[in-house]
Amino acid sequence: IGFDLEVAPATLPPCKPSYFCSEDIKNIIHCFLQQYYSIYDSGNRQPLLDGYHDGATFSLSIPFITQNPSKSSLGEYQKDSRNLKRMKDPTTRFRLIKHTRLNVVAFLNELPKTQHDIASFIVDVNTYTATLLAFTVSGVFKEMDGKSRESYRAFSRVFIAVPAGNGLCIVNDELFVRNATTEEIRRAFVAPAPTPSSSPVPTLSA
Amino acid sequence: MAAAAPVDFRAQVDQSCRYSEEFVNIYYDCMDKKRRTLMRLYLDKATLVWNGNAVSGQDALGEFFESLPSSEFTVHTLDCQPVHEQATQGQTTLLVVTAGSVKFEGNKQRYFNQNFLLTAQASPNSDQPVWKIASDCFRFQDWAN
Repeated sequence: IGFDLEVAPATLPPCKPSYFCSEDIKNIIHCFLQQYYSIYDSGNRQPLLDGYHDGATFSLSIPFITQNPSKSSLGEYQKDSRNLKRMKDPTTRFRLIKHTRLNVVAFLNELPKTQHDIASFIVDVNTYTATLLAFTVSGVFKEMDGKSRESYRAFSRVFIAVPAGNGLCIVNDELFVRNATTEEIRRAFVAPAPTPSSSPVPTLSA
Repeated sequence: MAAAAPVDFRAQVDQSCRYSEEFVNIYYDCMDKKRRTLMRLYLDKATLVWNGNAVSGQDALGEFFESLPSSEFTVHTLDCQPVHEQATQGQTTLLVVTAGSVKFEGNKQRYFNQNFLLTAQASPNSDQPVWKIASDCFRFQDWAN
């Protein structure tokens, strides 16, 4: 004779694609991402200055690599990675935060040249109020600097923005970069690229 | 340079580091071992987006967390930023970003990214303000596989 404690094992909810809250917010974010990444991938990130608030903050992080860091090939990002789990020195922690839009964009300009697969993007809207829109973008990009072969990366990026004209102005930006998995590389850049904007230098905020 | 901020940015950064380290220890300890108390870390009107599933409000959050299999989280990466006051109407707010691995019972180990907005709130139980999660966004890195 046993006890009636048998319950169905808990299961994880199914994973879903992007969560936008509303169609309006979806349109605002789509428009922002199109403009932002067309500049980001253009080879000159200087015009991103228009998209950042004067007091904007940016930082970058990568996964903590336990074995064989040389094989990880995230070398270009390693020195700028701000991982509080690994670094305890307050001065280093402060140095790795880029503050004010000039410093943020100067830093972004130094990162490897990229091509993002906008069709791969998944967006989750964290929260929005009258003064704030916070959302997380994940996706895949390739680095265009590679001499011999392309490096595929995956990223997860949190943007916090305030309204500006018809668009958005970024106040906080945190970028997590890792190597793309074989599966992510296989699926990347298969959907047709979005039609390029007709204006040569898109603006971020109206 | 931007106009001088009312609070020294260096002090804000130092403070955000201290609080986010403390928060992450408490959060994942509750998640793994004291799941029933987890929702107390959230604002009444907090929003969670969990692998694209949106859950809002303390009751719904409590139910959601109860429904998840038991977990073992390991945080490998932690970053944080003070959120600009223009976005928060002056309310002290932190962005906390984590990455690591998680093993949900009955599932294979997965890598995840998670980020939180923490806001300082007056507490009925204390003279000191307390940190509450206003939003929480979680995704498995390989969620589409």
